[in-house]
Amino acid sequence: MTSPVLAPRAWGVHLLVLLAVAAAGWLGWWQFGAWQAHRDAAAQDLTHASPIPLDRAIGPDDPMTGDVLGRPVEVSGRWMDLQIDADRPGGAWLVDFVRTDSGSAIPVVRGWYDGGDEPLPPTGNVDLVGWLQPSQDLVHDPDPHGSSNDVSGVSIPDLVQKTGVDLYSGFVVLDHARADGTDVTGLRQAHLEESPSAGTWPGARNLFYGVEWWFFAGFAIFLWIKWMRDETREQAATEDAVPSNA
Amino acid sequence: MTLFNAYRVLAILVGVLLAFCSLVALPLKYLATEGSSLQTFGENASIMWVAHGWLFMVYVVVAFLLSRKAGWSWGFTGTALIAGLIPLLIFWVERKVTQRYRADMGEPVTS
Repeated sequence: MTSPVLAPRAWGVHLLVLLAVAAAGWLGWWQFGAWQAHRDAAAQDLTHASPIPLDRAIGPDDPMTGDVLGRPVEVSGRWMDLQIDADRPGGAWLVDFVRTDSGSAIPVVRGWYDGGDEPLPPTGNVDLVGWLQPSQDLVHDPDPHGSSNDVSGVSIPDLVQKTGVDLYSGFVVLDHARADGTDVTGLRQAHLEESPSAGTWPGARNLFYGVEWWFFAGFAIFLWIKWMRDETREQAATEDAVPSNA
Repeated sequence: MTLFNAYRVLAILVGVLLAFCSLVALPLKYLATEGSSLQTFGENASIMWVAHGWLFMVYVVVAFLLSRKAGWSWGFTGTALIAGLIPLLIFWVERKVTQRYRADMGEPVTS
């Protein structure tokens, strides 16, 4: 008598296992590919790319897109003699404003300031290089129309309300190494909070999915072997039962 | 904690996560207005799929061990394993498993 796992009625099970393992294996492979792609993209750190003119990265009325986030941009225009302190734990960012030829202004984080006399806002024409950053979350301002020049984050809607100036949808963090004459005395370089490498988390998600799929492929094979053993043992048991002690 | 209790806890967790991901997070992510707070919530909540996936792996192992111990048929074992991938099915399976378990233990079926 042939083994029950070779009988025609078992073929459906074999086919099912084969399909399940192939599907799970392929999905796992695909997720690992996506993870790899994410890592490659993150490795291309835009913060070290060569600067492009601001208006090539973002128009005055455009929303901020992910492909220019953290990108160095050249900002040319005129300082507006306007300065806001964006309060941060342990100090503040000094935010100044450059009006460009477009007529809109872009907030520029000139640097980190933590005590002493507050530097005066710069004046005159300017050409600087800094990293483009998206507007931060709007934090409740206890005094939106007050005379205080403090805000609690670089939120564009907040700054528009505070200054009444037409602003771009993002801001720029000044690169002190390429400040080109902008006075940064008494200020330290502000660090970027949003840079392209922040995108590693969706990549990690793909890795988790990939591991899961391969686990399921392995488990399907394990179940299949168990099932074949069960079937074979069952048949052996029924065959043994009849002739024993006859 | 017995295998049976571990199974019940995992089944309910996997079931709730799957229901949340597929019936709440997924529709919000793809059907809510792009950029709205509901849509953003759906997108952020999609991270729960990872939690579901990893819990489901544990569930699969525990369910399989329980199936051997309790002597489930291959058909029911398969259904119990697949139930972690089909929204809401796992709650029915969990009920069936509990009924069977209580019957085997000689306890009155209460649920």
